[in-house]
Amino acid sequence: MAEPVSRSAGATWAKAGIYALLVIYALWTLFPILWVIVTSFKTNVQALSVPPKILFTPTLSNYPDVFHTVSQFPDVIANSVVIAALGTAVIILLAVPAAYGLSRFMPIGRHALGFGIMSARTFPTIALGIPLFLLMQSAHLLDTRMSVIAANVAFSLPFGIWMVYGFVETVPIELEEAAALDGCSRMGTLLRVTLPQLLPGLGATAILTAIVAWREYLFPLILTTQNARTLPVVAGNFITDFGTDWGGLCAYAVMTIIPVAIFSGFVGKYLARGFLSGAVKG
Amino acid sequence: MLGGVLLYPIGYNIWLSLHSYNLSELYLGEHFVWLHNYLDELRDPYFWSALRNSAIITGSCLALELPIGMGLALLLHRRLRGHSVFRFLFFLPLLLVPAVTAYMWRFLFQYTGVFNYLLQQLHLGRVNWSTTQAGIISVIIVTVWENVPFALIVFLAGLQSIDPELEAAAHVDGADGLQRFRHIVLPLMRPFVLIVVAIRTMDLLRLFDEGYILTGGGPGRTTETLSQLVYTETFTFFDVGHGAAISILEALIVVLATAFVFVTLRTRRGGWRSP
Repeated sequence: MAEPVSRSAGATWAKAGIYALLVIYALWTLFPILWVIVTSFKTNVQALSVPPKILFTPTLSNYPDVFHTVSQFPDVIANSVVIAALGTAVIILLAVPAAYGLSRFMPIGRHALGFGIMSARTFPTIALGIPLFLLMQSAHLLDTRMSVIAANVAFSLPFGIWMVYGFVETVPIELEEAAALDGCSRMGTLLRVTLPQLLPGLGATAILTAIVAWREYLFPLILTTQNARTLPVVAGNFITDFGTDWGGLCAYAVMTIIPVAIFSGFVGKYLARGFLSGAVKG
Repeated sequence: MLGGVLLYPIGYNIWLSLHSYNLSELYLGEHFVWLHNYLDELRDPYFWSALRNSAIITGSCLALELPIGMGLALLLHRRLRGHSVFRFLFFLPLLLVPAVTAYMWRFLFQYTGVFNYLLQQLHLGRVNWSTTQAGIISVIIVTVWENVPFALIVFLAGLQSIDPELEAAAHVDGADGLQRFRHIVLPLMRPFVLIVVAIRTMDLLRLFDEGYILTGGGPGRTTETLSQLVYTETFTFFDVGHGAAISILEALIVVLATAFVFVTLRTRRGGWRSP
């Protein structure tokens, strides 16, 4: 709210109050994350001691231990990266022609399309998980990266088409008509005229679909057992019948948080924009 | 093409829901059983308990996420010095992987964990987070912590789309802060509220990760959500027919709830406003 600037005492108090509220919520948001970072340097005895230890001799052993607790940890990271990247590539490759075709040849309008996509989005993940599990089982594709990629594509493609459709609509059709007059084929127009205009939009769409795949827990939980496990699924390895390795779990959590924090530092602006164009422009 | 990737699994799922099919009794084969699986579920106390849990979680999370998100958006929108630092901090939970977040909180919620320690320092006493009631509350706390930033992002964008002169005019006319919020800001924010409520209702009704990791449905199966119930039926009892039937019921519930949200919250003159 744009308050006219006043220098009265009331305004100063209001400002102090606002800062107090912001700081309180920031503490609430940050505390769990900070506590997990601190615990990642504790032994398991220190992790749950009462009262909690603020001062302790830090240990670094939890970090290398992650590689023991999670067998083939580097492969697990590779799975997460490959599944997110390949799935995103497939979605973009399918969404561009689909959105272009819908926009130029079947102009049903963003509202109608949005409604269709929304109803697809209402379909619970688990309701896709059952048929996909059986399909992958009969195709002998369980525990392969392919199966998780296919599940992610099935879930995210409608959303991808919807986002790309919105960006295609912003490319003026006159531009394409001019290219056609100059003797450019339909395909040539799409590749040389429309596609370059779409690139920023495709970037935003790709980032969002990659993030959805990176966060996905249920599909890899159902579809993988050993070779194709992704990062979210292996967190369960730290909890065994013999007790829980909290220090290890915290070290693992920190290791997954760092790449995301760096990535979002780079794409933060796209992220917010993508969320908004995807979520709000009806 | 859309038909291939999405409609085929959905159709197959509906087909499964009409059959008796158990992966641990494959020798029995698959028979068409009309709507028997659905009728069984409507008589199953576990279904009603899961539906109640999902409804409680959805209602409570919406009731907390919306006002907190709106409050923080209003505070940040004043663009006081340092607001971008706070915005970055507030967005952090949304960037974490939900499953990892849930495991993090499972650690904080241990009986001798830090959350109970803080409660004790406030003279509220330790809570045993593995009871039915406390288990559901823990799922609500974590889900709200994680998703307030989503409401915040959308509401911030909404506030930025409001013409500041409208408010300035009301200010000149003598409207106080609360009146301006009630009569100018809130009506203009309606489409943004609608989007947040619609998307969060869908996501909350099908909540799985947080419940599965934090409580595992326990004690017993008293804190299972709808998605967890489907998972238990299908992948613990291998009863694909019943699992599929519940998942279709769950999808219907989500569609009805979303339709209800759209009908009750749609802007009075109809139609959407782009930001």
